[in-house]
Amino acid sequence: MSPTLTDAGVAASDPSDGLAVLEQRGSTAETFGIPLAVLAELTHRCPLQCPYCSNPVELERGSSELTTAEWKKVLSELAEIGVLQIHFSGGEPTARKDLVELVQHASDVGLYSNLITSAVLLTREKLVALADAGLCHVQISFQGNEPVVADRVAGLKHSHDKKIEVAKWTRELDLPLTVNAVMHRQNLHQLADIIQMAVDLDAGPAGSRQCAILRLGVEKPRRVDADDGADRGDQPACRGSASAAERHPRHRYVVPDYYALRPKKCMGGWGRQFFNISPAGKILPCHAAETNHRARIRVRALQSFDRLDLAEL
Amino acid sequence: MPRHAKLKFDETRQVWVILAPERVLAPDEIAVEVLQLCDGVRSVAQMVDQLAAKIRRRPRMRSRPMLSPCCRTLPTRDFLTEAREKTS
Repeated sequence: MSPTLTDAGVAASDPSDGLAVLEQRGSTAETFGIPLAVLAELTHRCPLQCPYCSNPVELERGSSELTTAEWKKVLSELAEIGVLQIHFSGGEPTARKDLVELVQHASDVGLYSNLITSAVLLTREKLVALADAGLCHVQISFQGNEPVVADRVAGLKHSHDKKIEVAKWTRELDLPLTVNAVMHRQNLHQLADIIQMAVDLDAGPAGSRQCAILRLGVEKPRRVDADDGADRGDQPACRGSASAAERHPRHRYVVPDYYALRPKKCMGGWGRQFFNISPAGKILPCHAAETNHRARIRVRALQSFDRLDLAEL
Repeated sequence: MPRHAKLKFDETRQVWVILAPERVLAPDEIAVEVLQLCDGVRSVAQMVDQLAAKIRRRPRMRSRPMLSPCCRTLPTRDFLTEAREKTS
C-alpha cells in the first residue's frame, strides 16, 4: 500500500537505501513517504523508433496530454510536498513546445531539473534557452558509438551525428551530461567504444570531467554480473569495458530483472524514492505499471495533489 | 560550487541537502557551515576567518582540522571543483 497524505503512519524506509539518512525523525517526509524524484513523461510523441522503448504499447495521443498550466500546477505541488528532483522525459520531451516554460517553472519552485532526451530535435538556441531557464542536468540517449548501428536501431538517419553535436553543446554550456545507452545483441560489441565515447564527450571545461555518467541497460547478453565489477562474463567486449570503466568515475550498469533471482525492489520500493506521471496525468509507481495487468495496478487520473493518492497496488 | 551541485534546506525532510545529477547528498553539520560560505568569491582564508570568528577561535587555526571528513571528500567527488582549482 502506497502512502497518502492522509495516512499518518510512518512510511518505513529501507535503512540501506539512503532515505533513512535523509529523513529526520518525525519529519513530514518520513511520516508520509515523500519520494525524492518524479519522472514527468510530458509526451509519448518521439521521432525515434527504438524497438526496446519503455513506453507502453498503447501510446497516449497528443490531444490527451496535460496542458502547460496543468503541468505547472503539478510541478508546484510536487515541490510543495517535498519532491526534490524532476526528470523531464517522454517520449521525447523536446517535442513539447512549452518545455522551456516548464523548466523555468521547475526552477522557480525550487526543483532540480533533468532533461532526458534523444537530442535530435534540439537546436543550440533551444539548449541555451533551457540552460538559461535553470536546467540542471542533461541525459542523452545513444544507440551505439557510430552512425551505422546507432541510426539503424533508432530508425532515424543522421540521428547519431546530431546527438554527438548536442552532447558537445551541452558540455560547452557547462551542463552536466549523462550518456544513456541500452545494450543489446546489435550493439553489445560496441560496449567499450560507447564508454570511451562518453569519456571523450565529457572533455569540456577542466574540473568537470567527472560529470558524464554512462547508464547501460543490458538487454539479453549471455551473462552479466551487475554488482561485481571483476566478473563481467565471458564476453571480450564486457571485459574490455571494465578497464575503461575503471578510468571513469561514474558508470552504472542497470541489468534487467530476468538476470536476477527475483525482481529488483523498484526504485527503493513502490513510489518511495520515485514515481512516474504519464502524459495524460496518471501517477504510476514505474514506467511499466500501466501495462502490467498482472500486478493489478489501478491508476487514477491526476486531478490535484490536494487529494494525492498514488496508484493503489 | 559548480553548476550541477545545489545546496538547499529541505523543509520536508528537515535536513540540508546537495542536489546533484540523479543524486541527493546529505552533508553533515560542519560541511553545511563551510558550504554556505562557498560563494565563488570568498577565499579559503576568508572562510576560515569567518568560521573562526563564528566559533570564537583564533584565526591562526588552520582550515584542515576544522573540516569534517564529509567536507574533505567533497572536492574529490567533484562537488567543489571551482574551489579546488582556485586554491591549488
